[in-house]
Amino acid sequence: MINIRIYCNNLHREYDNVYNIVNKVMAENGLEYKIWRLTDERDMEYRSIMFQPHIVINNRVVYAKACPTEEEMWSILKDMQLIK
Amino acid sequence: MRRLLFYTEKLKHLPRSGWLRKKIQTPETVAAHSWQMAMMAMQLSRTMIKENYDFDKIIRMCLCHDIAESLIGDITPLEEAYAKKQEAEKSAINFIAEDADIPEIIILFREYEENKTPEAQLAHDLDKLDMYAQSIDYEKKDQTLDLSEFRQSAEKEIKTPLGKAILKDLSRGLKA
Repeated sequence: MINIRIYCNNLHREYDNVYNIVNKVMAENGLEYKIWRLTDERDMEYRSIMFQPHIVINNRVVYAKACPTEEEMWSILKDMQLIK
Repeated sequence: MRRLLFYTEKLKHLPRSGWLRKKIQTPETVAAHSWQMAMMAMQLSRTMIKENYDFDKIIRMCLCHDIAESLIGDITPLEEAYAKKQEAEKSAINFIAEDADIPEIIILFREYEENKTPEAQLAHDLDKLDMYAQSIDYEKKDQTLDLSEFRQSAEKEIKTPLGKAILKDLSRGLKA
């Protein structure tokens, strides 16, 4: 099971986009995964997460500061050897 | 202070979305834009002493007007999210003002958004004027760029006589 945490407050312009893209690419690859959407600003401050959206896959920070494109998500999964 | 810096620090790294869309290399940040507006207001406070504006308030308004973007990002009129931007900004401003303990931010932000006072109207014009000037600057640095849409948008939206006079002055930079 691949654990994905998306840190992004729910007022943010990319709040829906980032989830939709991550969910779409993961589903397209037929992977087993779960996405947590973390929205608490104080929690992010505690974790020193300055820039949102901030994506963590299996405890590794893979993307921060903007919403990735689908191509970038594919590339991330390949780099992590989660797909070929 | 630490709380305030947590939000303002983000704006120092948040690029303005309009320039990102036009693929500008190293676009200005939201903080740089707010600073430039405040500097314009400061210049006016010296040169326009006969004008009946509270320039001190305008300077503070310029510094605060985009602070909500530290939470919601920079949403441009061309995006779907723009429809909900006002509502999102209100929530974000309330959160930041409470969290950073600066209630003045809410007062200044509301005045800016309502756009009824002379100070708010001039601040709105300065917002567009900075964009206008920045577009010229980018085109001078990269002559393959065409950012005229930003200037056309600014020309339509600038309302105050002082704003229009500044616009006329800036437009001379196009011919230079």
